[in-house]
Amino acid sequence: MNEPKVIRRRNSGTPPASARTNDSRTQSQYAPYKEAAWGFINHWYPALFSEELPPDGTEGIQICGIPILLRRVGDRVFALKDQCLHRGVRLSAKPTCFTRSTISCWYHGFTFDLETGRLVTIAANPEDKLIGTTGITTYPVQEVNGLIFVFVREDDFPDEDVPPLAHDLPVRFPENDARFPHPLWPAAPSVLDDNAVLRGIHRTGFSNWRIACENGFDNAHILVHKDNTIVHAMDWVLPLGIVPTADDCIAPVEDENGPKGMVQWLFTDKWKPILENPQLNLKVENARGRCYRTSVFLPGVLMVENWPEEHVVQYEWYVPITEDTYEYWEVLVKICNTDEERAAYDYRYKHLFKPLALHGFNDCDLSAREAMQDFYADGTGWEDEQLVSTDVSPITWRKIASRWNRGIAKPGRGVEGTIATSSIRLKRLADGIAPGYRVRKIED
Amino acid sequence: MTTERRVRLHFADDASGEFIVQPGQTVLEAGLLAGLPLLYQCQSGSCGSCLATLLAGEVANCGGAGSTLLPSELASGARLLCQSEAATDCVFALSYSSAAGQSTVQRAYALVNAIDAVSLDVVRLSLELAEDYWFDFRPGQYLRLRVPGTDAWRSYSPSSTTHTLPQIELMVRLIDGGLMSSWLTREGRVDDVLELEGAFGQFFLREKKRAPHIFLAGGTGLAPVLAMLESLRRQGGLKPPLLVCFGCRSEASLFGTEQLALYQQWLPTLEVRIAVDEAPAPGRLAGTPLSTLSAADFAHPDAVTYVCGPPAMVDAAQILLGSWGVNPLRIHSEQFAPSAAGQ
Repeated sequence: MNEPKVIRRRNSGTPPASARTNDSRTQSQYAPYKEAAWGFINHWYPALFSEELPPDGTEGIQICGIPILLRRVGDRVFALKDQCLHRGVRLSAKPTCFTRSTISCWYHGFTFDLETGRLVTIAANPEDKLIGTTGITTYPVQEVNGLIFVFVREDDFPDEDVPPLAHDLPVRFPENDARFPHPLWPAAPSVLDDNAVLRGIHRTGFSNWRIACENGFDNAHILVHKDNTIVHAMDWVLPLGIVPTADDCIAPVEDENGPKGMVQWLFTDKWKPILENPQLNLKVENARGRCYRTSVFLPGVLMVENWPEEHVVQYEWYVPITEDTYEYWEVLVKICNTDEERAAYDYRYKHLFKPLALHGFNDCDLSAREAMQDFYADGTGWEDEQLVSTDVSPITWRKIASRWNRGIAKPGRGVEGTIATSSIRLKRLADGIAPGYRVRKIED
Repeated sequence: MTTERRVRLHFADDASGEFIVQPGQTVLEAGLLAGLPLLYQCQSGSCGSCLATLLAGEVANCGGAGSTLLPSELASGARLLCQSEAATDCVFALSYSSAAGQSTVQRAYALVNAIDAVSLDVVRLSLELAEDYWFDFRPGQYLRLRVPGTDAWRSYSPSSTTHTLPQIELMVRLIDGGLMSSWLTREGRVDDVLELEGAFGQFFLREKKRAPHIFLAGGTGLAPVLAMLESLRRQGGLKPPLLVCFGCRSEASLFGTEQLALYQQWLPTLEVRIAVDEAPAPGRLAGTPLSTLSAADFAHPDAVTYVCGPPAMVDAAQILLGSWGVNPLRIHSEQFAPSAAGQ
């Protein structure tokens, strides 16, 4: 009998032996997080600003590798899987609606009920046996204060399990004043508050969403903002970094019926701001204190209280599109009870915060994330990174996210970005169109 | 269709099987989950592999998307099980024997990555499939390993899942004078080649269920339970309540406790009870996995129980759960009996 030839696999995928600072024991505690390259699924994500979806408008986006179509009809916004079940084209590429309650595929006329996703007819084949037996997944939608949220779910995630939007947003104030006191600043508004005015932008970032997310609350990263215009124009004291001084410097939030995440006790005695480094001849000389507090909640939403000024809060989302692109949302929220307040805030947003904070200041974060991408893109960065004491923040987040996520998104199936070098992607690139969040419409 | 239906399938060799079909489930899915050796391929109504003849009852959705059945075939009772939901209780006849559908046994070679003692008498054997080999299995199923240099085969359940292929991890209980035990402790080295076959067994994680899952594991019976926990962890959506009751004879024999602690970290719905029979450490439950149970753990009528361990434990579990009125159809078990020494 011939002995079979038995040799080691050429590409074994054997994990490297680990002797890292963040040792294998710590790493294994957040192993599920390391699997979440395509994001956490079965969570609420922002999809579009309301103004981006006009009456009778249809837009296609992609979140966690799932193509999603949004359509506004009257006072309703519908969200369905943006992939015809017949041959997989994106319905939103050429929106075709023959009735108010349906959308038809522009290719072969497969027609879906907006409410249920059921296949209700086929334009050119109305007697087909498939009709009524199948459909596409629908996604719960909630539109609040000018922002459209979508519950991005697996096909078999039942309606009755869909949690309230508030479970995927940061803790609110003043109801958490006692638990998370903020003696140095007024209560931060929530996107859900009455008269909350949301102003912001979103754009595609070219890195994995986790790298982007961790940048937001990493207390050593503020060094990248040292030279930012807004910091010096406002004469803000922005430390070189902030280091933990207590074991309980971070408060996990794991209430049974509520958001899951963590609040950092910044600007208390549990964290120490570093204002100079003599060895490097660095010293923060600015005069005006600039207290803030960062928290992060599943599925990856940052809250920066008291930023960029009193009564304003900055929220950020890092919405996974593919494993190496995410939609970066920066949203400032302020309560405006009168038209005058709103007009004044609008002016300040347009001429100060948008150019100098959301762009000038946060553009540095965007570059920093892109600079990290190569290190993490092939997966080795998660093993090779050597973390230090300030990294208690990302490590705590990774553990909380590993425990409380509602599902790890599977790599996209038959969607943009699963094959990085597909010919259509390369052609678009040659045409000057970078991979992104939205579907490009087919011109007639 | 809102109620579960009972379906009976007759194989050509007089073997038959009966199982419950849940609303929304196809007869094929339910039959496979019940462990019946059914033939199938595409599961979308086009290949015809799952053809059966309907003898009694009615099915819904028959001949839906892409069915290749002709009207004359449908009239004669032919149905594709992958396209059939049971509208009533049903009886089908299959044209093949129950042996035909026993999934083909896979044979593969693997190299030893590591042999680690994880307790006084348990060794973790880490394998990696050799180039050009693959090995599919369900969480909870077992495979057989040939003891190198002999014609003796031993059965082990991976504690890993297919997600970590080509790596496979097995937990082996060391037995005095056992062939594999001797090989592992004396001869086995990294890069040694092992021959394996499988996968076998009907002890595997059943479909997504909301009802509580209760796992009773004795000794290396924990291995398939770890694989099932990993599989549950990877499932999206709200997790069912999970209870793992694990026991070993002595503290020195205990293993896997760190891994169980990790699963408790990752799965907020998981409760773990660890018991030791002889001289338990302070704070440890005394007794066996079964002695940590009470009837209240089975209060949910649809609770699913998986029992894996020495034959005596599995038998005792059947009796104990039976005395509490637990539906035997919702108890899945696997006995881990040592092969007789020297065989």
